[in-house]
Amino acid sequence: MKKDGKRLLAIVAAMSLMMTGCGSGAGDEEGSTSSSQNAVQSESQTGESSDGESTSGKTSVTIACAAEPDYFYPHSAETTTSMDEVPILQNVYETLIRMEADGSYTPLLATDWEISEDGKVYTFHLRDDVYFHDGNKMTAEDVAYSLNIAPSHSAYMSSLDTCNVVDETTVEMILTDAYAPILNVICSRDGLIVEKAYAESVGDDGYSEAPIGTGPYKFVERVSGDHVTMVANENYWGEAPAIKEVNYKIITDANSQMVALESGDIDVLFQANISSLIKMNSDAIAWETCDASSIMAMQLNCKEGPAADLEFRKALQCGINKEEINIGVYEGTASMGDIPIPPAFSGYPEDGSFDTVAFDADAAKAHLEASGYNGEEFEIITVSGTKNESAAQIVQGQLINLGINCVVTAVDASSYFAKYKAGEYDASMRAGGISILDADGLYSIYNAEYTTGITGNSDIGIWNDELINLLKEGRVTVDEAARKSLYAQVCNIITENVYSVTLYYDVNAVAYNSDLQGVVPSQLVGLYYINDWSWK
Amino acid sequence: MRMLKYVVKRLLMLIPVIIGVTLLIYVVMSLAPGNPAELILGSDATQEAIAAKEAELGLNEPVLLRYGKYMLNVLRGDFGRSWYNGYNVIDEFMSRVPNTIILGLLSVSLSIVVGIPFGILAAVRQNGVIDYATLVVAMLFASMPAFWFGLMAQIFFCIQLGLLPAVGADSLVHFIMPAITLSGGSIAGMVRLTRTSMLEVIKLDYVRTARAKGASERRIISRHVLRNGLLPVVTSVGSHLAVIVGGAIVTESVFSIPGTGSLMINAVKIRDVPVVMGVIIIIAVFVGCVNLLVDLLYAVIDPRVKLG
Repeated sequence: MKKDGKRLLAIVAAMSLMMTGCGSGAGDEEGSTSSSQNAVQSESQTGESSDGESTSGKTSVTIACAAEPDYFYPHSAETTTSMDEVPILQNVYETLIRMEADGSYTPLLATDWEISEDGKVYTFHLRDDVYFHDGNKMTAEDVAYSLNIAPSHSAYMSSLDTCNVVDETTVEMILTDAYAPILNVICSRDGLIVEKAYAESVGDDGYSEAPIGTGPYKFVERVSGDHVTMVANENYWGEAPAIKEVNYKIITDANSQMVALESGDIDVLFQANISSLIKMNSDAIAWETCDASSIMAMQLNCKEGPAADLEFRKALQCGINKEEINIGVYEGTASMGDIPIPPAFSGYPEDGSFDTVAFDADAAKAHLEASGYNGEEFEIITVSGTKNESAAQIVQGQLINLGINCVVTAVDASSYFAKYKAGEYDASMRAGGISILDADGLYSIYNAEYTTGITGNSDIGIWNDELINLLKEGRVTVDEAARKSLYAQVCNIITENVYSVTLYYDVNAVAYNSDLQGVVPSQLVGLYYINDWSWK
Repeated sequence: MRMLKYVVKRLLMLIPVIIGVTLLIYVVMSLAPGNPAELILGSDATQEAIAAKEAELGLNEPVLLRYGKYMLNVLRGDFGRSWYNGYNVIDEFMSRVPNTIILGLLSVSLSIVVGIPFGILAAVRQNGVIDYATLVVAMLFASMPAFWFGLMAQIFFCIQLGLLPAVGADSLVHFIMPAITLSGGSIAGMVRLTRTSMLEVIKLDYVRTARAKGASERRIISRHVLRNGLLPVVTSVGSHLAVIVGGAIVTESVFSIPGTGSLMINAVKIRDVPVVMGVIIIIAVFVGCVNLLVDLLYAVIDPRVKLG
């Protein structure tokens, strides 16, 4: 935590030294050498980017990842797959349908699908020409098997009653109740199709060690702590991928990732640091951002501590300057929002249909005076060494200016979740990762019954019958317009009671060699279809 | 016979050391906040799955009982499997140990090859320009933190000059920068240690006697001073070798070298108890044995040292 801050400082200092150093310290002679070196370097850079031939022969990519991907079976009830594994899972395995960057659905293993009137039965017609990497044909049995085991590890699949085989190329998913986000869920790792016979013979861990899917890439090897390799599947049912080999390289240190990207050791970097990208300013590297599926919000403990007082919470709501945080944390690239549903989510209410509260320091002071606040400590918990911590520190500064005795407690992730689950905080700041791009993500936060997993809820005074009923209705409402209006009401209840203060929508950035085409940033962390990429 | 007795005694002393180290770490990791079952299964897990996982990991049992069971398995040679991905702890460790050893040996060799000659030079030319220059440079290297030095080396050699690969451990070339980074601090230590112990010996009577007999300066240094002056250096090299297997966490992380240091630090972050414990036990045994070897070697090269 502290060390990271120092590291950053050191780097900034060092970079500025490197940029200005030669001229200021080392005298004229060296100054001229360094400028000639720069000239040589920029020549070689332009040479690289304009020299199409040198790179056109390339058919492999090296992607950097920050944490080690080590589990490759998506349906284990014993072990969860982490976000770092998603780019591998989504290219080795496939889902029935695919979610595009704009949120629309396109066919993948299923050619088309129908949804019953009541939203409880989903019928999928499958492709007939799909083979697993071991040469066996994908059948409706495999599809039904994969979907039927998903509820054992994912709460998002809990509405699935059963998935039946109708005929050789048709399956139907029967839900206990209509669940609007289900298509969204089966586009994620929960809906990846595995081979039934293989899974039954080798078990979860065996499957993970030698994964077999239908996807455009075959798993080759994992070298502990170093890399994972995939090669193109030559029998792929779809168009043959232009990228023939994918190296997924583990580089845990964020600075080393940037160096490796700039030196050409890696071609693609997911979750790139935006401040570094802006400073890099190189023609050889392109980068793009998009809203992430996670929402940066300050969750308030409305039951105990200073935030139990509504007036105090209102002071927070209008007293935080969100734009300042955006600039401080994301160089201003994040999309700002006042409700805990990003615009790209299904169920996002029509603009103007919900209430918002603008930044107003004077109003905040008035609310603070009206509250019973008398200088007691207001503790924000967050995960150390993350962007959340930087954001929390900026909020801390703003709140101290308002006259709130705010402290930030930054701890490691496991301690954070333990505190979070126990409700031991006044405010908690974390870009809450939601695995589905749907407003239904809120259901797990405001649901008294949701006590599962590391993010399970404790009673922090935000359980509201009206709110939970609206959220329950939102789950089963299939009509898009009706859903939007329900979620507008949900947002208004949250805003009115100030259960949480939404700060901004998190950013996913992807940086890549500018000769690589087809790389599109993905809202869901790691959802990249590498078979869409190619070298210029 | 006496030697054998000494060796057996020292090996027996390793047992309480290992029990102490492992018990401490096991208890600390078990008492740290956060339920491992929840951490393993993540945010989407169901209540039943978590309960089943807790039972499987034995989290409902008292810590000491769990520790005892674990150690019994270790005695049978079973270090267990990672809680997170089910990989065999020993296999994981063994797949990473070569990188760590290459890095460690390269950096120790570098600190010997560079550190000792400059230390001797500084001692021989005490208070001269070379002495001060060596000390200043040594201090400079010792004061630069590995993450900063490594990053600067990467920026200069990879981005500016394009000479060396920035990350990875695919070939020996990949180890050049990490070895230099890792040895920076120990070279400085080696220079200072060599210089100090040489100076102590140079002042001794028998050196003066040698001079009085008219031996050449070169002969005095190489034959008389060096032999005795390097004794403490041997111990220092030994202790450097001992910590190699623990890996160089910062250097491994900056240069993305898949070594034992990064294996352990990642396991600590996610509370993967079997991996942390396995690595700790191996390191403890290794350090104990290397220390013993150094002591034995010491007795061989210095007849004054008596073991027992």
